Amino acid sequence: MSDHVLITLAKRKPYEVVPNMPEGCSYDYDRGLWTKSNEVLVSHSSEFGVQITKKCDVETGEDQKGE
Amino acid sequence: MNKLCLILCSKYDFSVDLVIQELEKTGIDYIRLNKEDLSNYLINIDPIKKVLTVKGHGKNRTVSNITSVWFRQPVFIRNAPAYPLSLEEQLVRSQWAAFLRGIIVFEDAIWMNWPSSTYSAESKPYQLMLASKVGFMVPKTMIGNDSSYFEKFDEEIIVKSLDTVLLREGEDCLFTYTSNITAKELNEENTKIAPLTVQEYVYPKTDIRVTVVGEKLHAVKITSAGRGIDNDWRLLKKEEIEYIDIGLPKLISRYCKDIVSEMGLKFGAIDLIESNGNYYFIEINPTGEWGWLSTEKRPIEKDIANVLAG
Repeated sequence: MSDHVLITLAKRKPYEVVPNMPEGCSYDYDRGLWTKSNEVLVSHSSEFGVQITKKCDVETGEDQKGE
Repeated sequence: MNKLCLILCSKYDFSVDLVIQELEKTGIDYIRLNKEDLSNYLINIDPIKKVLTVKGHGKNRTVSNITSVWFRQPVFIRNAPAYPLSLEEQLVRSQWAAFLRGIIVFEDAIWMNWPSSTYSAESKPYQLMLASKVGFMVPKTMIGNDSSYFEKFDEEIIVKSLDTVLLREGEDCLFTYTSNITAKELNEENTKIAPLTVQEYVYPKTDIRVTVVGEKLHAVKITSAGRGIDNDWRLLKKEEIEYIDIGLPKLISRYCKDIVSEMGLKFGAIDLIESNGNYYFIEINPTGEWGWLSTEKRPIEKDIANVLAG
């Protein structure tokens, strides 16, 4: 393994192809958003609120800049 | 002409869900295309007539009235696959990426953001140069792989990547946060194979996130137990972090809007540091995340929807 400082400082974790989504949610292709039990998953008043935008994010810097 | 917003993003780009709800409320027509699903649709562009057709998942749209494009796609591809790509995978990646860039045929639409603006705005050296030019204080910075330059810094330094470090090894992924180390820890052996960014360590510090959307600006300080966070705040547990609205000095607000404007952006997520009353520019992210900052009193999604609605 390289000794480059950016590699030695890196945090390692298991790779996830997709974020770990809340159980029972699905993507509504008609509306173009995620729902759970017919309710919008991400909103200020939903069970999961808007922090899910961070919670489910696969860490790629901040904004899913990966491919 | 009816307005139509085209959204190019990821299926897991949850902040988009917030904006879509705003578009629904205001009756703005939209099409969301997720990069994960592109091959599951039938999608064509007539580049001469500027017509887009999208078929699949219950959609059958032929549109020539795209009035805004929300381009949430990165311009640079960062993460390397940990396995050899098949011919089909190589083809899918290269050609869909080019297809999405080709959406610029709808040049008359409102773009958030125009891809070539995102391209230049994603360059950290360019950001720092421009930030200094518009008037910001910028930490002393050296970028490269010659460690002899790094020895000239004070003992404590900030080490960060020049671009997102997102690596794969076997079943693991590696991500490098901004780190605080000492200049003595850097040498030819641990820097030569790839360039990095070294900055003076500004201390004490309070991180500030400024989200600029069109003419709107939201400034939030990021603290833990009411105090600034010494290291990369993303390393803390989410429940330990507070996001508190602040007012910026008028001059700093102007610099924020100026750099977004200079870069030709309509959206920019800017990281600043406040230290002893001074405000330092750290970086700007043209496709930065913001959903986690949104509240009913700080409804960033409404600002974005308003820009997209024209």
